[in-house]
Amino acid sequence: MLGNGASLAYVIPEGILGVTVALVMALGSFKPTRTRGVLAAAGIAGMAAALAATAAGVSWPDGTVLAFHGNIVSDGMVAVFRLVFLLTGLLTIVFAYGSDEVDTRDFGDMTAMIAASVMGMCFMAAAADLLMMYLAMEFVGILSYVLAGLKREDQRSSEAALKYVIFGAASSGVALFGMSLLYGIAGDTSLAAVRAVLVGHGFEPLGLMALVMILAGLGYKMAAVPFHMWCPDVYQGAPTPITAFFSVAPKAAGFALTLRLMDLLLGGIDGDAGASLGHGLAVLIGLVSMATMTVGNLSALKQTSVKRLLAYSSIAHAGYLLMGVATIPAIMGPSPDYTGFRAVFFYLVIYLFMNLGAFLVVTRVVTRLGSDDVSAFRSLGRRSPLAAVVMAIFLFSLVGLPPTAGFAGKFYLFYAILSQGSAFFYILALVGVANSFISLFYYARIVRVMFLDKSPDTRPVPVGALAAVVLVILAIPTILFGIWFGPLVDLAGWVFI
Amino acid sequence: MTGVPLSHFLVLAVALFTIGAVGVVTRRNALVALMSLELMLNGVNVAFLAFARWRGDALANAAVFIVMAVAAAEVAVGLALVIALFRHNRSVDLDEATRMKG
Amino acid sequence: MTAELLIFYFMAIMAVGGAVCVVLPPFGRNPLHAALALLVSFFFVAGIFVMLSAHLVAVLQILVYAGAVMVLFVFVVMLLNLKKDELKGARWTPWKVFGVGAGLVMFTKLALAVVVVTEGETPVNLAAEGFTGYGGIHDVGAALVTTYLLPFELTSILLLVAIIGAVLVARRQTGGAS
Repeated sequence: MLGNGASLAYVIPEGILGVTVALVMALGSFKPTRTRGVLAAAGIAGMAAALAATAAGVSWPDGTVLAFHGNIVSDGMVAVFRLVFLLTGLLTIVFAYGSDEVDTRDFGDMTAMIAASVMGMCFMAAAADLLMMYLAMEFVGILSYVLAGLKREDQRSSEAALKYVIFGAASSGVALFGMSLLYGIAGDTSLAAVRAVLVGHGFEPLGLMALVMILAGLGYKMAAVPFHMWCPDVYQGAPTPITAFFSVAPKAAGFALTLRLMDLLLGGIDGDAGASLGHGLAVLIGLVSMATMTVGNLSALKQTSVKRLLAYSSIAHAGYLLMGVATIPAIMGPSPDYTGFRAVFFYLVIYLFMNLGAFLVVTRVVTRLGSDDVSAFRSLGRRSPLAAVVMAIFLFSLVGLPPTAGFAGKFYLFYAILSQGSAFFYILALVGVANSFISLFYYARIVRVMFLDKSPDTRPVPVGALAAVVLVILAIPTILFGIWFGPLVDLAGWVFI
Repeated sequence: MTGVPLSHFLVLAVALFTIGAVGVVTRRNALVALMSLELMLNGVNVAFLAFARWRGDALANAAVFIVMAVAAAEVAVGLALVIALFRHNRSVDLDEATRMKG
Repeated sequence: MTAELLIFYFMAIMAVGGAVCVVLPPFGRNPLHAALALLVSFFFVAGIFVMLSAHLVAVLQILVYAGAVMVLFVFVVMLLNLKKDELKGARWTPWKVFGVGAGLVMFTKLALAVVVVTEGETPVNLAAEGFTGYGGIHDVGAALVTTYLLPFELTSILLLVAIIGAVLVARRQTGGAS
């Protein structure tokens, strides 16, 4: 366990982000530099620096390091998740730059909030102490509430953001109460102490209740059923670039924290108490996964607003990801197998590309045509071929059709589940496949509208050079990783060595 | 404080927490919902401190310190959003604020 | 029935009473009355904290919660010039009934579990070696700059961005230099 001084070397990317926040706020204070271009450039430069540093191996230890007196862990998993968060943040700033939904006066503050949010997410992935987990969750949460309410002139935006705060804070409160109970049982806030109690004499009944409360709080962040109600309203009310950010980054952070919690509590654990807890949790998470997938997909079928449709699609994808989390029994015992957890990371990276790509197209359509209704996409194939083609790629990847990366991601998840072998997991996989089939209908509807429907409005929809470049950059991995997924699997291997 | 058993403090914590939780779910007035939220967090603090006193662990006091700071930040943002909503609706009623459907 | 037990019951009942007054519709209709009830509750919770020897936290409860947070609430109530809630009836949707019921069930389960688990636990003797100064500024301060330094620094950043965020969300559309 490292002390405070020696631990600084392990949070350098977060430090760079902190400097970025300060820099953007400073630049935003003086009239000459308070332009969209300068502020965006500062934000992107900071994120890119942190991204480059992480990719180069800064703060990326080979094994696991317990830092800051046991508050955070630094290992490969934190580093690879950092890449996800930073990339999402960077792309969000690029989207927001070209979108007219974000006012220039707010642009500097928004960029600072996004940078701070990414920093909080890095800590969410690294937290090894109950207090640190709560703090990181609330850090990201409070910033999300602010970003959700950015469109002050839109009544739906303020309403969605207020409800988001109240119920989000309440769910965090529930999680915190569970943490206080675990603290009471364990005598210390570190997860190592909680695990020691689990190994020593099991959790019943108070510890179990406490753990369920914590998972309830986390479930809200991941928009799992039955805590998913806030998702469509918040996604629809926020500016589209922020919605894109929400759909990938905080979700990924929530999953990172959940995976970390499961690993610290149950990874490689021996003994009956741990085993029964692990199996119980697997069933619970599996059921939540099934409910989430189904509710998300069925609700998406009747949506006319593409933003809302993508929100429900996001809920459904949280369901697919939870399938991977449900493979807890595999990580217990003397030779833990993290395939399921790695599949979650793999899918999150692919999800980043396809979801951000889809949202970028929606951003351009909203900016040019002023509406995100499905009817606005009519004959987009003729009016903006590039946007329509890449949108089709992203949508087919979201369904999970080969040869897109979405197929590879789903395949990895199903493989991880089916290798568990028990009947419950076969049912889980079946529900997953059925849901993917259902999702074909609403994604394909958009594709059909884009290419086959006639529109009274025949204006071309110019995408803009910058957006075109970004779209291509996002579309390439969406196909590439479907065929050449080796490197990504290697990256996923860093998740819990 | 040998006169009062630990369970008494914890039942008090659970009571405050539950009353707050019911308030958040039930009340229409956004301000009262935020107040109920504070009640929940108070309940949590009592639980933390009760356990800490019984183990002699001073760390939990620092944890409560941080929880208080986070709660204050949360309330600040929540109240700002209440003001933002009030500008549109002229009311802070959450049930009236249901423009979104689906 | 020792004096300590009596004091505890008094403070606990007042704290819970204040909480109930905030939440239940007949009492908490006027948001200002609800705020005052909450203030009462906070005050007695601070008393409970003193009973738990958490002196620094008790003072902070008064300063931060009763002092800053409640002032903020009252300020907003006054600023928005809110009147009593419209007497349209409590509008008991099925969702809310379920919520109250679930709350009662949750309370009973948790309370029972807690009572069972903490049977026969005895508190640490604070006058003994190593525990003097428990809950005082030195102890808590030492914890904050050693073990909990990272959460402490992160909290300070959180407060900064929360202030910026609150201003960002609530400011008017016209004007408003950043």
